[in-house]
Amino acid sequence: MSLKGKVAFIGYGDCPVGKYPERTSVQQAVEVSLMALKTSGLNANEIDTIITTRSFADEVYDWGIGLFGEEIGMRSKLEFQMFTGGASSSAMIKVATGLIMSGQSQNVLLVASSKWGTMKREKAVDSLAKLHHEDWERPFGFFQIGAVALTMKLAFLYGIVTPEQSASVSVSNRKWAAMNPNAMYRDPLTIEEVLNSGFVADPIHTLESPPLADGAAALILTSAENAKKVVKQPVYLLGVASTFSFSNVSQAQAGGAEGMKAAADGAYQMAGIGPKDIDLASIYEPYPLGTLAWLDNLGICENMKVAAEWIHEGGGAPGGELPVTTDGGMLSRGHCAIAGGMLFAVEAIRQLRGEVGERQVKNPELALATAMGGVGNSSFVEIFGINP
Amino acid sequence: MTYTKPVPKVRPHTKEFWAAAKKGQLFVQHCKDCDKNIFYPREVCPKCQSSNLEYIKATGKGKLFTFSLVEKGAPPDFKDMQPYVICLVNLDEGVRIGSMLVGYDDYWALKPGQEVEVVFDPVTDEISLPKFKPAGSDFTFDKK
Repeated sequence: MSLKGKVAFIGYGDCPVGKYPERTSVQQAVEVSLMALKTSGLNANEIDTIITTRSFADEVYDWGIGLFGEEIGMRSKLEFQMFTGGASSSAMIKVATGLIMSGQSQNVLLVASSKWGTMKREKAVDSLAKLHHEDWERPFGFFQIGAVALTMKLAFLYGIVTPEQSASVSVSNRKWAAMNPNAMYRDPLTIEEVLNSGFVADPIHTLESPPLADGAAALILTSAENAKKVVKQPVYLLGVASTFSFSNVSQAQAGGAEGMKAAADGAYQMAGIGPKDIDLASIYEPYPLGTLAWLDNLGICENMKVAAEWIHEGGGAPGGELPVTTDGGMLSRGHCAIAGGMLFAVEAIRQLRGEVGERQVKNPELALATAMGGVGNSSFVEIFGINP
Repeated sequence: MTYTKPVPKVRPHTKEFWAAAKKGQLFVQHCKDCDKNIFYPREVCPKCQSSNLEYIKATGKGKLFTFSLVEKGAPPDFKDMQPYVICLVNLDEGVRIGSMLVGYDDYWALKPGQEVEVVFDPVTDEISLPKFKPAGSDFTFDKK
């Protein structure tokens, strides 16, 4: 049985990403969920399943057990949390699809919220470092960006990507962010500014690493059959696939990107389409080489070297061949933890509904979104369309 | 001075590893059922899930797979050490280890595939961390 076109997204919610100390993580979650209800036309009491995740606020347990559901006033059949790093929202989509198709749920709300922007930076960095192995990584000074840097360095050591090409990913994203009122950084950015921003960890410059932000996102899914009755334009899930590969970077095989291709191939196969059919790609990219590795593994570019040249020439920027990461992505829109991952799907769905304003891609019919957990530990690809 | 950075915990399946490290000997694990060499040490073999594992002596030599100079992004515990170099090393035993690179002259002259060898950093009475240096370097750590 194919999942193609069997479930649809009927509502989405997002909010300004950045530093918003006056908003608590639960308040943000309520705000975006109300927007998701509004864009879906449903009432709160029509949601029968709520899937949340770790909030990445000051306290690990600040959402208690069911605090979000209580605050928004949703008694439901099922309320629980899911987590697989930055790809958590994609795992939620897979689980929600299963619940809907098996008849256990009808209307599922997915919601994520982060307070990384307000947290002390040291504390946020430390909380990320604690995701690394306590015996075999942390004692050696390993941490999130460092582990990613180790895999990315390979592309520079072997002459696949130049520093200018890598920096151009940040520049391309910033051009899209300039048209996104919810983005954290919108001022013009040059390659020189990126290259002069110093190394967080070689080869990743400060302006090639994501600003940590407060933000939230929500999605509502239902069966395709039900979707047509409640919204004018459902956005159908046409393909979805994922892989899990490793946890510690020392155990990664192909430079940390090993799971991407299988996830991409699986999603294309389910949707019955290929990379040439896509009208826009919403690519999860905390670091520029993430975008390049995805462009390669998604088959949008022939290989990583070509991807680097293509992005440098503006292939993914406004006016380019294929719109890539049209909300500005982690690098400019801001990295609000798991909500930051969900926003890639939110952007693709908003674009397909024609509801993003200035940065609207003309009449898109097919869009894809990607997600990655950890330092490439898990990879997800989703394909969305306006027809089932 | 007390060492304040994270230190590995000694566990039943790693006790032997840390005891050897204290004596300046690098061990890797070996699966007696499927013959696979394993690093980092596990409770079961990641290839065949057997718990019939033993430690073998490693040469302590290997090749630099990749490396990164940490300039500004270190976690709070390691801020005072910046800049430092983290690395992945392919050991002669066919396994990969994550560690720190020390005793190099010029970071920007480092090459992937370059030969490196283990050098132990005695951070506590119980733990000596296996770090790596370019082969032939006379770098050693002082006792903390």
